[in-house]
Amino acid sequence: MISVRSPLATLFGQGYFNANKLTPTQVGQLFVSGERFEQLSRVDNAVLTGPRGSGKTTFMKMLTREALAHWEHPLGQELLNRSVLSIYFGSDVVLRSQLVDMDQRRDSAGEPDADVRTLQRAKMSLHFLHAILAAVKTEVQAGRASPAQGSGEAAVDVGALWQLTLPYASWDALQTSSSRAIDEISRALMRVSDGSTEDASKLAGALAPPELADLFIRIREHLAAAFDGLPERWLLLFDELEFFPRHVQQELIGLIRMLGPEFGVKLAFTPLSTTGGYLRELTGAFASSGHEYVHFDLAASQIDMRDLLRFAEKLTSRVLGMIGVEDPDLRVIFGVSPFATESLRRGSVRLVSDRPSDDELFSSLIEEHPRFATFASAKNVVTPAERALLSEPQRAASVRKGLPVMLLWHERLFRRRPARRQSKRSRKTNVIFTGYPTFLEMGDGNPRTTLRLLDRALANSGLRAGTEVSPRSADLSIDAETQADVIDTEREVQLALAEVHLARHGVVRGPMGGMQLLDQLGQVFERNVYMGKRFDPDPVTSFVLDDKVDFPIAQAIADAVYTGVLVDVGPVDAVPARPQVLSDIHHLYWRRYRLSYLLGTRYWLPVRKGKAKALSTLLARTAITRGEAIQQTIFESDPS
Amino acid sequence: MTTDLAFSPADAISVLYRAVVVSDIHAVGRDTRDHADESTVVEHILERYAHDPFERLAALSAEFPKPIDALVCCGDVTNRAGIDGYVYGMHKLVDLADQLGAPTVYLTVGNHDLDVRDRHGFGPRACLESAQLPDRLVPSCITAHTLHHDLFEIYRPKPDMTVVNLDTNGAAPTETQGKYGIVDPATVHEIEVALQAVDLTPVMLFVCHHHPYRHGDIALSDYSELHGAPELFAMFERLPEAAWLLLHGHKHQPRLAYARGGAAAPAVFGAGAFSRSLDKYLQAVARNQCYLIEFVRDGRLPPGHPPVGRFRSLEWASSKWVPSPASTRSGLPYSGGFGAKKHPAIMAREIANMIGRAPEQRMRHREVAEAQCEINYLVPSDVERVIEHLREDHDIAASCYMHDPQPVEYGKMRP
Repeated sequence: MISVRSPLATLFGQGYFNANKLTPTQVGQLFVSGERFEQLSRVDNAVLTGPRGSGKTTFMKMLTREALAHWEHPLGQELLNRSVLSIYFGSDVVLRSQLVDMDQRRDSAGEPDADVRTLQRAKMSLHFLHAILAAVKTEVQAGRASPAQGSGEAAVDVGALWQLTLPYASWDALQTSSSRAIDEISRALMRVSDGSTEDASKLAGALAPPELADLFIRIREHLAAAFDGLPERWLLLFDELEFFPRHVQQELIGLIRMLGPEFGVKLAFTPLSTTGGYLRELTGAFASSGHEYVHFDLAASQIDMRDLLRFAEKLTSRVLGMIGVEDPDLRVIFGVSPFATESLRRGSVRLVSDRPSDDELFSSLIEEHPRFATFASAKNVVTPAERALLSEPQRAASVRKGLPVMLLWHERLFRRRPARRQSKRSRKTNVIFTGYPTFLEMGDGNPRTTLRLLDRALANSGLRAGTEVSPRSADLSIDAETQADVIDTEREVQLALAEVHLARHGVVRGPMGGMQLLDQLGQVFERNVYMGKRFDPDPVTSFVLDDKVDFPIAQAIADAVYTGVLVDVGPVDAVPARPQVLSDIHHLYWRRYRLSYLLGTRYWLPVRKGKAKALSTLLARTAITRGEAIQQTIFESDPS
Repeated sequence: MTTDLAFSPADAISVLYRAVVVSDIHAVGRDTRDHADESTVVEHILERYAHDPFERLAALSAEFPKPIDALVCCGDVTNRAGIDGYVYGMHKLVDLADQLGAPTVYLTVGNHDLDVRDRHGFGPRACLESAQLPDRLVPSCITAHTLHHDLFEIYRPKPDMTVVNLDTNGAAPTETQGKYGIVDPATVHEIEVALQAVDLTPVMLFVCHHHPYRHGDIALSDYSELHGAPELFAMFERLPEAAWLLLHGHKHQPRLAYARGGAAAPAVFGAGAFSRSLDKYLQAVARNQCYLIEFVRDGRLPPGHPPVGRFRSLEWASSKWVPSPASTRSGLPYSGGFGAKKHPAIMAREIANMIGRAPEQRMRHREVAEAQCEINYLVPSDVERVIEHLREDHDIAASCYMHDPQPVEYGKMRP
């Protein structure tokens, strides 16, 4: 049954598309595989970092056996055949509030409150216990494991690790007793918030969880004795570590150092500057304990334009399939983008613009604008006959590469179309950025953004509530104006998230905060596209984070990357031999970044990575510094 | 979705009737004077946000056991007699019925559906006349009585099932000013005569808006209960024996208990509000809930046992419907039943005897429920008492999981 206002929210039971709230079964049904997941699944230990919504939780949940069982992919079966018990440890809002917010509490001497710490540790470890029991239950229900004779006694021993007394010897009794203990801890922590520490002291004395490493090792031993057929090797999947309190994060460091080869550990988090060097500590713990590990950063991995589009296409088609659209034709649903290749446009049912062929368009544009004519004359591509003489790479370099920029230039400054709702200077998204494949590329390969774009667009499509029959692609056509509105909305969402994190950095250059810096960069790129003396078919629209950039700016850039407003487009070819910057973000240096495509629409930037310049050069040569000078002059002339 | 709404299957069980219950919607339409803060079904808000309780419930329709025989609404479709709200709420109800595949909607009149203060100047029934159910969803009456004229209607959707729909706002609702429910002794007499004329069926569902007993435990000043309820219950006692369920709304406080009377006294199911914002004292004792109710015959019960009922309860958690928590203190728990009246102490003793003979002195609940079938149809408060008796009298502990008040396992406590 499909809802008009939010078809995907109805499908997934949530409107923000966070894998945290999806069951492993849903994750398995929705998952689009890629090279990175294959790599992640084949290593024993890993640290997975990436921007919000980039798929970290999806990857972690996909490694659970429940999700693998619902994934129709050969790799799913292969991973399922391995004798590894994968256990997912996530977090939820209540856990976060009780663990992280309470972590700030100090006693009268200014030290962390010991009782609160103990209760937090107990709560966290009982939360881990429940995750372990859930994984074991999945194995038992799937018939891959079965309780051994007298297995209940082992439950009593596990409960004793927290000094929990079970009413009778059974794993269900352990689950009930530990649930009650969690409830009691929650109540005691709530009373601490209200100013009463009596219950917390009493409970902290009764519950004393051992160190995490000790706990995992002993629980594994007990379970191995209590259940036949349970995999001996355990894979611990810790997700959303940024929400764990500092002392639990530190315990996980200890856990990595202590665990033997019978355990694998994979950890995922978004290393925003608020996590304060945790990435370095984690990777250091793996290195110092001799465990082999791999660091995957979903932000710092070169996303090829074709990969990005293929991912968005697969995800979109899968979701459309889930709401009952069979063999969706994305060209019909979204219309065809003016930037689409000729082969894609050929035979399309619905074009966003009445655009002629590339060759005809090139001819008309150079005829209309002397700026383009000069360029064409310099490249000897004025007439169709001259262009016909070019080899395919030459044609690509001199005609096809420049055409999208020419088209944008023409559309923005000269096109006379019925006024939408914006003037030429409006920051509203122009319909030129809509249609297939451009609309799908707007998500930058971020699944959450892609799903939200799709949800908002479908909400305004031909879907109707109560549609029982499978809708056809033609029923779903989403007009260009709607797509442009959706891009506007989603861009504001992305900017709001970035603002929250960039505001923490205060001013990073002169009077500018991180968001103003991004805006200035956008304007610099915009000028490169539209205001150069000569037409540049490949203007500078990206930058390289070099080590001459002040560290506060680099930190703000890193947070912008992890909130999704900046996108990594790969490493530079040659990195100068200099001492490495020792920080959590060292791996982000000497890589190219562009504005997210969503943000790029605000500055009318072409939907591609563009040429790059070092950020320090851009900062030194542009109005970014001039703004600072003007500001200083104003303050200096202030008589007060 | 994560909710498993299916009841545990058993060959011995035959389902007589299955209904989804929503009550006290308090929908608010375009007219913003209708106190939008009092409801979660507000047209101009739901247009922008996707957290629509109706759509989220419809999204679960695939998980409901099929077929759904009816959608029941115990009144208060709109809030404070808002006409826009009534029209909007009715659209929502019809959409929900269609999406659930329910062929019939039983709709009774709530105090908010009547314009008793003549706010619009069109008389008290202005809302009711502004929107009506499509004919295909209107149940057909088996007597000539109508809600509008006689304040009650009687339907017989199946040979074993009769539904009585009573308007408890009285013949002249402006006199009550919507402050309390009322059923006139003459109306009670008419219902009794009508029912005797058509004969009773094994299952009798009685739907009205107001609560027959004061909910004095949550509000000492609650005087809005149904005036004339004693006469109504006396009628139940006089009529031939049947499995009665009195289903009502109004107080927004979910509860399930038996009315006064003998062994065949009706079960009184107070449905929680579907989407009324819960304020003041109600936040501590109630939740927004909706229900799936089944009337069944269970062959495992002693021969001659009347039909019984079971229910699933869902709770609105800001953006979706989730299984209600196990505690009976803030609404009805996720699963429960009604219709079996074995004393909890006796039930506990029989369970204790079984566990005493079991290996390792522990048993799964499904084994217990198979042998002691009545436990499936005890009201939730009685199930809690059984567990208490087991612990206190027989040293037997029960392991319960979060959403289900019924245990998963029982075990003899260690010394």
